[in-house]
Amino acid sequence: MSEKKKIVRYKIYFNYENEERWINEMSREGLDLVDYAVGKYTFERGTPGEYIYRYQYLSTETPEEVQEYISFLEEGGIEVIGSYFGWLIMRKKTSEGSFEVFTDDESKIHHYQSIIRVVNIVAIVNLVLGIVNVTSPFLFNRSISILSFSTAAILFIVIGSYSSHVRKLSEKINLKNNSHHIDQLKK
Amino acid sequence: MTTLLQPPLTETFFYILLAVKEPLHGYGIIQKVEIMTEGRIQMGPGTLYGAVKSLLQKGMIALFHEDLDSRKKDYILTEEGAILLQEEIARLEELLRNGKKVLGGTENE
Repeated sequence: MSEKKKIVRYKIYFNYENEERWINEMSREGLDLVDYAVGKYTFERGTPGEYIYRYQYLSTETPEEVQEYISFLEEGGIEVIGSYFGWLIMRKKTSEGSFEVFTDDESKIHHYQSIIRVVNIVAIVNLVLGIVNVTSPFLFNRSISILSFSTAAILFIVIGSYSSHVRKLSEKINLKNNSHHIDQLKK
Repeated sequence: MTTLLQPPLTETFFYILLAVKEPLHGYGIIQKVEIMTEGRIQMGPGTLYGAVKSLLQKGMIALFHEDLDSRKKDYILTEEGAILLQEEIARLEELLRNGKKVLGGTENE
């Protein structure tokens, strides 16, 4: 049994789409993601382009439902690399064909919206943290304030990016169906 | 008259409802739809999972059987689901009829 050499990279991503893109670039270069912890990506050397990686955020699933979903994914030849705070990182062999998690506009919009909701909360918490600490006499607190404001700003930009995707997809749907679907989405 | 699902039905919902006329599990549904559409629709797992949840919630499909070992779930079309499908097919037939009449008929308009 050969122990494949592990390669570690340290990076921080705020936008999961950029992260997913990077992981797939690494895969094309022959580095397959096998483990993830915040800021730390562990890769294994493998055949270039063997795997396609995808991210999915599960917002309302209980741990049992997440497990069920993972079993369902495995049925279809999808391997789950990691599962953290609702985020799933999964991969499928390129030889088995194209791999997309969401294949219609409605479900793509839902996914973005569930992510936007959570990122919004984190961004607002950071904003509040920043405001509360900005007038403090202590340098430590003012530093926290700067960090919090910066984080909030980055997250709002990320939300902007996701929101513009939602807008474009909604327009596409509107064009097709004269806004019947937008009503259907508001449930 | 059914439901909270307004026309038009998305292709995803339509084909899932069609696929579970006989009991079928998640990946079985994806494969059946791919066959029915000759490869045009290859449903992603996230899309399927969300749509199944939605259809279950609205009573258009129901859990038919759950395997206690593999936890695999089979779904089946409910009566309400069948009615919804019939209504949608009638709507689509009307579109088809008129489409063929206008475009497929006299070309000197």
